[in-house]
Amino acid sequence: MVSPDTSLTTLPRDEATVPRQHESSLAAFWYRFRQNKPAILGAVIVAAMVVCAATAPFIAPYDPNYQDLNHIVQPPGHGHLLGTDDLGRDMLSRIIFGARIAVGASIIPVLLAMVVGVPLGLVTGYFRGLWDDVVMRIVDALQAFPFLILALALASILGPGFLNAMIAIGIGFIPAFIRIVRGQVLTVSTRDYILAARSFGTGNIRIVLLHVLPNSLAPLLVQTSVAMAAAILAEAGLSFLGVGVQPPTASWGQMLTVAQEYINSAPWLAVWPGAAIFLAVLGFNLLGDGIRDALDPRMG
Amino acid sequence: MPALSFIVRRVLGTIPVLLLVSVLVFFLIQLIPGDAATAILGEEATPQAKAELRHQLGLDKPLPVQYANWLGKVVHGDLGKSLTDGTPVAETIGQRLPVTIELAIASFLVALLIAFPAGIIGATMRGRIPDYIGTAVALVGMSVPSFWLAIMLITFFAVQHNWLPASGYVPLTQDPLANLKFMLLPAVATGFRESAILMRMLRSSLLEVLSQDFIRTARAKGLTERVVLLRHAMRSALIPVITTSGLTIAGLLGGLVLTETIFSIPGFGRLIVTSVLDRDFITVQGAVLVAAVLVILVNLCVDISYAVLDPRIKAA
Repeated sequence: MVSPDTSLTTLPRDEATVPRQHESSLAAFWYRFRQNKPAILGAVIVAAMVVCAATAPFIAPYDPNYQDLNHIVQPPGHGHLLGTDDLGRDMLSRIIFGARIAVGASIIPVLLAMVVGVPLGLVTGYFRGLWDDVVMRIVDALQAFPFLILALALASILGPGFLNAMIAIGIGFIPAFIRIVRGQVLTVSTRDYILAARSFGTGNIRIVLLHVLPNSLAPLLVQTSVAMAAAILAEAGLSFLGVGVQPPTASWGQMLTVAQEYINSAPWLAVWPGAAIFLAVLGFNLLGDGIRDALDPRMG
Repeated sequence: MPALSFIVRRVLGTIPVLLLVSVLVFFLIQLIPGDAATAILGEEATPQAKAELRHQLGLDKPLPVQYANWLGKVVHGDLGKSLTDGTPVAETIGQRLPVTIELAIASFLVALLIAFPAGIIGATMRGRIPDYIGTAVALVGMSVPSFWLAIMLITFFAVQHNWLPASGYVPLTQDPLANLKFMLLPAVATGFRESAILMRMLRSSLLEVLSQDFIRTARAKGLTERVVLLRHAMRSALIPVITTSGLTIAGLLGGLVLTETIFSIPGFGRLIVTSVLDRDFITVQGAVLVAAVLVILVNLCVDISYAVLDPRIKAA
């Protein structure tokens, strides 16, 4: 990804002042973000999830797929802090390993949507014309599909599994990324520094990559955080319905499917995976709100 | 008649989107990896059965011809026949859709019942404890998975206290009271998330309106705060909320897929899930098309109501 640092460095007359302005705006952003306690809480939750995912084999007390058939559906207690599931697998270990799927789900579809959506949004917003009309009508059409229904249909057609679920969710996100970037490009393109860059004879590709894109990053950052939260929910939903992550891989959504079968005899089985999904989504939502407020304090 | 011309333009603008939606839905089937007939019938199917299915689906013809034939049938209400039991897909959807529409309306009412008081209190008491509580509840609503909330509601209200049924459905026409009992938990599970979105939108929209000059003028005229809020501020603040309500319909439809599955409600969402699990691609294709058309039509209605409410739109 292009670093925001390059955004304002190609206009010769601004070279002495702009980087300083940029640094100060970054510092102001960071200051405002640090003052926002819920945003810090969100960042801590997300960081904890990433640490759990990265260190899962070291911190999980058991192998997440180890079946102890003598101790099935055990309530939380000694030996198994969060109890065991229908096959005697340790719930805590499965929750910790489930973080790996959640982290993957928060990154892969969003990355896919960005790889497709950002260039399309840049090109359509900057060049406009027929190309813009065609892409935007396709975006309109794609946005007519309820997200989960589209993801469900795509996942069923591509076949069940984690990667196909990621592709399905990513495709569902593409229209939002195109719209966000295009909208921002339309605003940025009319600014004086873009007109100045044009008057200096700077090429379109250079203008788009070095001036338009870095100055369109702020709403993109917020959208990324929102999409990451939505992706975790969508993955959990697809896995819950049986078209996402397949057993025996530990996934929070799939754990809820098992828990639903034991709702009468072992209601605690549903508490932990659901709470894990809730916390992960809450973390990204808090982070997204914090980034938005820090970028534009009027919106808080 | 600027409003009429806006409505005509908006309706005409829907046609290319509907056509594009039909193209995308048609190509869903083309995405099946490898041979679609083998994917549907399985490797063990005889070559004759596969050839027959290819012919039935029109897969033995060029793509543009396949699309034209399919669209021609769709326009006449023929969405094909289910691959699992051979029943017409349109007929099945027609039976399931009213149940989902009823649940969607109930969920939306729950969302409004939570969002309106919470949004108004949040905006009028900004920065005070009720505002913080409302904001926190909205954040929880946006983060809690509806299917987990559904399971928790069943655990508490049905399993532990036996106050409401855990699953099932009774048609409204058959027994309205029983219908209400069966619909309450699913409606809360789905509506809670939508209420959070609407509450946030209403709060921020009201805050913006309350800082405008015409509100200051209304207060200066000596109008009570209640009149200022309900007669003046709410009218303007509702416009973006109505737009958001239209957008939440797509989210609601998606959420209902999960809710209907958990509560065993024989609706449109559950039909999609069972068709997906049975690899009944024709039903999936028909259902996805109907869902998209529903969203387009709801958004069209919202835009038209928007034009009636907001004079700036009429002039645009």
